[in-house]
Amino acid sequence: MTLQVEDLSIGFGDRTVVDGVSFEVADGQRVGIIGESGSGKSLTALAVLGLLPEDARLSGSIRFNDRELIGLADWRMANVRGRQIGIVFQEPRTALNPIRTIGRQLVEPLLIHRLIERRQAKATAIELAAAVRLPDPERIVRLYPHQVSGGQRQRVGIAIALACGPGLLIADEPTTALDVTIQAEIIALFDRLIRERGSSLVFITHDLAVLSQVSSDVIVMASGRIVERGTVRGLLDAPQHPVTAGLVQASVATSWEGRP
Amino acid sequence: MADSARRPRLPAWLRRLLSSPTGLYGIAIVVILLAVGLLSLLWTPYDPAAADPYHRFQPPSAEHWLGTDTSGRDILSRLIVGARTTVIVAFLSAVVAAVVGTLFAVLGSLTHRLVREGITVIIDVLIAFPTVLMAMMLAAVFGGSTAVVIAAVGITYGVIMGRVARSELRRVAGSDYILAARASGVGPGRILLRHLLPNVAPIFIVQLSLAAGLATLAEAALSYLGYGAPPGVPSWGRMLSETQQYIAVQPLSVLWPGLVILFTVLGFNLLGDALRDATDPRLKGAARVRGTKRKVAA
Amino acid sequence: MIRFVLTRLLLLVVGLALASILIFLTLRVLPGDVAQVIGGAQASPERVAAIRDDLGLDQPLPVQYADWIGGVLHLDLGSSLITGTSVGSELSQKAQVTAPLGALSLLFAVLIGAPLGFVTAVRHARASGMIVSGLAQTLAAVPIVWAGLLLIILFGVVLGWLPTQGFPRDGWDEPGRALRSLILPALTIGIIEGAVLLRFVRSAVLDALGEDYVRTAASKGLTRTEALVRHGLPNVALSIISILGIQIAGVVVGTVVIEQLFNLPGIGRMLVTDVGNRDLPKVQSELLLLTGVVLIVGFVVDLLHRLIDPRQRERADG
Repeated sequence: MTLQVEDLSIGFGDRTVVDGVSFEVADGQRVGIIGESGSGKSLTALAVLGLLPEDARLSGSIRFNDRELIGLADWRMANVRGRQIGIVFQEPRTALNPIRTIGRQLVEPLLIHRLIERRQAKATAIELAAAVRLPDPERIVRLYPHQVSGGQRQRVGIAIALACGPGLLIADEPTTALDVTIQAEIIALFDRLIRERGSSLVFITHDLAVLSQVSSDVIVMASGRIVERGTVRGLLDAPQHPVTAGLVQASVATSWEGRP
Repeated sequence: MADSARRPRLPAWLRRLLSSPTGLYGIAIVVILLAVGLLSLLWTPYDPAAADPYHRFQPPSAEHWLGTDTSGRDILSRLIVGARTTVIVAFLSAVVAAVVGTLFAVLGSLTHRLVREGITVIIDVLIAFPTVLMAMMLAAVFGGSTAVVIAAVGITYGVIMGRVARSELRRVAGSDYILAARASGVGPGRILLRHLLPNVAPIFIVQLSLAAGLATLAEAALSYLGYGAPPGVPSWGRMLSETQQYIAVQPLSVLWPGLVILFTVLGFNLLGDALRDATDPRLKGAARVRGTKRKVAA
Repeated sequence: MIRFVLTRLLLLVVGLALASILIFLTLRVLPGDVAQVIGGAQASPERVAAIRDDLGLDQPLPVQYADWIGGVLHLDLGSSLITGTSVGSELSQKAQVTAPLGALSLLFAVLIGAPLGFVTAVRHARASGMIVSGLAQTLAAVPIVWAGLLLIILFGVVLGWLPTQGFPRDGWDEPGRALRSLILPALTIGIIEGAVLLRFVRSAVLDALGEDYVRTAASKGLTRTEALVRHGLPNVALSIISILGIQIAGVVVGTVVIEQLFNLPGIGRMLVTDVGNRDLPKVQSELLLLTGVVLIVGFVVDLLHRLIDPRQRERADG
């Protein structure tokens, strides 16, 4: 379950929004990508899954388990999505289909990749809901997204991403849109589920304090480039790049426990 | 920079409008239309009513750029004079629509609950009246005329605009900013003029442009049916309907009135679209340039 | 839910009533004396008085209105002032032309507008998408009379493939001929309304393309097209249903002009003639019928809307 990104560049029209990004995620490793909005970190994540807008230009290499993903036909990429690489998105309010029940959306990845049969769908949906600690799973699978809270919707998103047991999970700012009080629960959920399954994780955020609870290896991005790498500890103690310093300052200012 | 301090800056939406190709085309068409309409009052290549029985159905030539019609009259001159009617119909319809729309919008959002409910029902009924049916109904009573066309388009489109503006007004009227203004004692009239209407204005202007386009098309259809301008008043719509009898003799004569109507309506529509893009605050910079509303994740 | 349906039904009835009042009042505002107009300038005073009596014009307005509406509710739509024939029977006869014309027009419009609207949305960034989209924008600005005339020239005068005027006297006894005479008219309406429909569909599909949940669906293991079709389209189906409602209003209007252009003996052309004759009873009922169709379509669309969208279903119970 290895991911190797080499010299990845993404452009729209004549603008280059991601330039020469390279990093690796080893089997079972957790890597954090941190940066301000506009730094290109989310675009990088979308590129791995082949979900960039149609007019994006890609160059470089993205290899997952030694298989080149850039230039792969969409139907082949579809086989990888969900099954081998899962993703959790930032905005729970809009990430779920408003006219389908939560249960149907939970089991959909399993049905797509034919890991379960139709008649097992209902029971499996309840199991998935329980695994992410959703309250009253039997009732909740029959509800629609607008009938549950933001935190609960994000749990659904996590359950969807992990449903097929992918080797790699990408989390794109999964707690940013949530209440501070809920954030801690969601992060703890992440931590536990990833550890249980031994998946690799790429955790994207702009908040160093959040990141520190999930991973120790960090990449710092700004303006589409990687500007610094290291461990959370190392960055906190001695940030080399001004952007990193700024992020460190911001996290110290907002962190409740007064860490580091 | 001293330079920009001296040069007056255009409002942002106007700058955006002028930098889009569709916006420029739309503005160009409207300007040309107005100019031709004005020109027609002063001069035309030939007298549009001058019949010349010896030169009927002439194809385009150096003397008659677009040829002559069934009575030998110069087609180009007739089109130029017809532009006058189009300008009047299009602009007056837009004005009537604006008045009707504002009335419905204000009555439907800022008044007592009973009045609001009543207005809602009235709007729903009036909206069911297509423009042509409304015009026919008025024509049955008052006979055909440009006034009938203007009234019909103005009322039916005004109702549509009113509904759109009303929901927008309702939304804005409930915002914190307005509540604060009222709490600090600003009078309702002032709130309406200074705060509410300017918020609704961009939507209105877009709709007005589209209304002008619809009015032009309606004039053509209604003139064909006989409810538009009477025979003495030249209009593109009636020119078009007159060509039907002669399509076997001179099919080319069908081309010109239809073409000018097409380009005019296209101009109004493109202007409306460009205005919509230029004034929509929800579009992000890059998406606006590409003309779509897709989000580009950071 | 039941309560919602009943409320909308009530609103529909109120709407129909208001429309009928509006039609009735407007038509009675005629300047001058109706009976005189109908009798003609040379008519004798007795003749005029007889017409006035026939029409019941001396009765107070509310009574006249009640007479008319009472008749309508019993499916008696009155009789022609000129010929005396029953409006109802004429309507059902002409409907044999107008109804198939309307249906065929709608079919053409959907066949042209829906698939092309979808494709131009998916290919919006490519040249082919932009060209077709531009074409649709141009077509939407074409006056319908001109479109009809051009088609007549092309298929009638130049190619001679299709009939361009009239409807066979035996009507549908000869289905082949009848259908052929409806093709050009329906195509004219279909192209114009199809162009309008195309732009709406394109806009709706573009919205769906940009939705986050379509992206989430793709991330589960669907191709991007599959995600759009399975998750995006059902959501925009709601707005498309509303659009179809508007289309039907456009088709109704289109038939009025088109029947005149192609000389088809339908309801639209009859309406035009009757307005010209100031045949009040007929015009009244015909207008009520046409507006009634539009109002009922609106009601059905509303109902479908609330039924399909679960977000509104629970609100519907309130």
